[in-house]
Amino acid sequence: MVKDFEKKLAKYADLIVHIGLNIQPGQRLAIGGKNLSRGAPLASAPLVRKVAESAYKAGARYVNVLWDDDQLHLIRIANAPKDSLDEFPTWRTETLYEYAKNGDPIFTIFAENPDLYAGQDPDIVNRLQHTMERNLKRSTDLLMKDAYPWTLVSVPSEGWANRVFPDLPAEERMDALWDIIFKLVRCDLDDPVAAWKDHVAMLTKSSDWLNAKAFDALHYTGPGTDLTLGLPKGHVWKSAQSQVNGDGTTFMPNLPTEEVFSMPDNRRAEGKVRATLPLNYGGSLIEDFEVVFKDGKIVEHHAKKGEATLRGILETDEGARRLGEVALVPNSSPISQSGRLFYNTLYDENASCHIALGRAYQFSMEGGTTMSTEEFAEHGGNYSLVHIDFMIGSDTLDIDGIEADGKVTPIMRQGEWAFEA
Amino acid sequence: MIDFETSLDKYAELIVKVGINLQEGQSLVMNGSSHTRGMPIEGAPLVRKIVEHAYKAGAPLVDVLWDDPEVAKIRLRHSSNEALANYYPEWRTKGIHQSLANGAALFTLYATDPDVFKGIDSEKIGAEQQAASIHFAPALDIIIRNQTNWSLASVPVAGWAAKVFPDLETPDAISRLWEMIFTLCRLDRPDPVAAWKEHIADLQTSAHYLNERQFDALHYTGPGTDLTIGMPANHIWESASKASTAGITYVGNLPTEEIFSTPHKDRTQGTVRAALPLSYSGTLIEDFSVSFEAGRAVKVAAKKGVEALEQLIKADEGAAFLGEVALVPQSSPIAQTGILFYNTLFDENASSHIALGSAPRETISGGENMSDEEFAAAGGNHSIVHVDFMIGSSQIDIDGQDAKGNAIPVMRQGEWAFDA
Repeated sequence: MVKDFEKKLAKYADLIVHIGLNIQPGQRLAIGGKNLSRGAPLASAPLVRKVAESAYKAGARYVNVLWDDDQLHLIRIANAPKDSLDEFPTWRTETLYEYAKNGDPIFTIFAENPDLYAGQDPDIVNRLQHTMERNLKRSTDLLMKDAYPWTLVSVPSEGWANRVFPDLPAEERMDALWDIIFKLVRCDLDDPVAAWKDHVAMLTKSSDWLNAKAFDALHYTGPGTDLTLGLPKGHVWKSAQSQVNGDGTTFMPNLPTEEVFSMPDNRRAEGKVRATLPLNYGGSLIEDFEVVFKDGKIVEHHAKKGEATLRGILETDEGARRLGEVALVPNSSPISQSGRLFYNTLYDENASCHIALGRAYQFSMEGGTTMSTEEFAEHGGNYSLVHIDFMIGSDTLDIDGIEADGKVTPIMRQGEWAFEA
Repeated sequence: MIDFETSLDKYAELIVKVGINLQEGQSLVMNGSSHTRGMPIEGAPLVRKIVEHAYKAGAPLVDVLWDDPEVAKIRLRHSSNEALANYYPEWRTKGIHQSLANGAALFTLYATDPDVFKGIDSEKIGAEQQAASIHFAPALDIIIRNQTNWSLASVPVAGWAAKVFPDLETPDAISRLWEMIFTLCRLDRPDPVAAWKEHIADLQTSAHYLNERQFDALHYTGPGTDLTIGMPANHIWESASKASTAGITYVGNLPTEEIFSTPHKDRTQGTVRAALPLSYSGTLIEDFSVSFEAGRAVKVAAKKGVEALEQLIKADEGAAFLGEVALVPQSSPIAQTGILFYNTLFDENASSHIALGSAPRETISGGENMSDEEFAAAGGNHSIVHVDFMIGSSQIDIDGQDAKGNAIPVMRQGEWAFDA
């Protein structure tokens, strides 16, 4: 048993409602997930109930839970007529869009078993994933503009716990994962809300320094990696907190979060980069992979495992071969220090420097949220149906910032910040 | 007891093949029965089996609309009446309606803890229930017009099992309730599908007799009951199996033991005492009676839960009138268990009953194609609710009256009194 489980769970829920979503009285809250039909996993019911309660207490008018059962996707793949896989329950994405359009908060739970689709035909899984992304597109457009508050968190599921703690007896794994999650979201502390405010202030110092420098490019070097990423004029480094349409209402998209991030110019990536952690994409694992960029575009890719899934991602659309995010995380981050591989992007991306294939956040560009997709593209903003982070950080990675006049300033050395903010 | 997984799989197969009779290429929507009409997440093990059989039968999409009664309860505790009445997740009812309008079949899992909302203000429950009913009305219209094939079955949820078997520990109560459901759904037979075909034929024989007779009214007598229910011209007695207007034969309730028709909504007279408690939107109404004048429920009395009963008949104009009359002999297997299930699907098949609210269209000849006005003129009731309550017992006698006033015994001491 996790010590004080109910108490910590209630703290986690309050943190999500007050710091994550920052729910305002009179708002409605939608609760969904990150899987093939964007539903909240049935196993997340204990947290969902606490969040619903905390949200109503905060004055929410209605809490709308869109549940889903991952098992049903497996059953569908195994038994459904092969020509029927483009069918999609559009009420799910329509509902999310209606909330997003209205500026109502959306809470998303990611608790998928990383091995859920192991052994399934990657083409079928990719097709289901693309169908969902297509239906979700209008909401994604709004998300990229910070048009509504949202928060993504994770909840232990058995499959996930088995993956993270194969070394523990089966019956201890769920508790171990809960324990570490509570610790990393600081819910083992007396006052998690105060702890998060301190942490946010620290991250903001680093992003302020990077914004003041306004580097023209970043240069990454490490084993298997020699990559130069151009940064567009007017790029903005952000951390932990975002604002709804820049109106001052803050929210925190990810809990936990340790990263400082911006967007590269999607035409200016040169060289090669080796991933330092496996990538779990919608229940399929891609391991030991590297990609080569020319003029911002991936021209070569290799993976020891999951190559078909990687190819599927790259073939989604034109923008899936280009970069939409660059993020810096020191190797000393608590998640990294846990020494665990989480097989879960929310955790692994906060343990490691990373870059993302696909769509760029429009708020990563000064004035970006009011730009049309075309205008944003002219500034080097990437467009795609997907946004997929993968990890490239380690304690052997160095990063330099290069200014327009060629001046080089160390940003990271051996995975740690190399500047005084 | 036979292996649980095997029984569960047979149950799911019976639901898909005999209950819903899902057609190749037909999608399936799956929901639940109360408040927000979602599928209770506790039902997942059966849901997964049904989904599997549905895809195997050639469904292009099976769409499960989940819900968690605990979240519903949290809302009732913390929300204002005004918010409860005005905020409803429209995607649920719109999603169901759109799919049904496009030809999808419907499965409803009828499984609620009868005490789930114990202690919560009945006005709040009423406000939420009414919002749900209003939003569900377009989908209900497709169902009562019999335009698609649908089925309703149950699954043990913890609170319900504990209520039915209060002397057992909850896990044992759940197992016991599963055993009951498997037995009453004839899954202990070597060939459940064949057993159902035989049972359906028996019920059809009795319905056929009553249809031939075309009684003008039914007269119920028993302790606390003296009730005359006028029957509309060209009423039809239905049983287990029927065909949708699209021509697909289906069994709407699993299990089912009843023969049912619609009363003339304006011709109910007298008083009836309920034989069993009624669980309505999470509140238990006990020891109650209803008095009718010219069809309308004008007086209700109950030892417990009278507020919920009053809320019910005020849901809308039609909620105070009858929309169904059903006959079940006391020797039905469900009655023979002697168990009170606190679940209409089982209790209504243990006992003769009547329902307040909407009438099934197909129980008046040509009813599916009538406008609401025409159906009302023929004596059919319309409402956003349809709530059955039990009035049968071994002390109830029922006579059929023809137009001349001649009385012919239909039931004596709760058993059929005719040879079909």
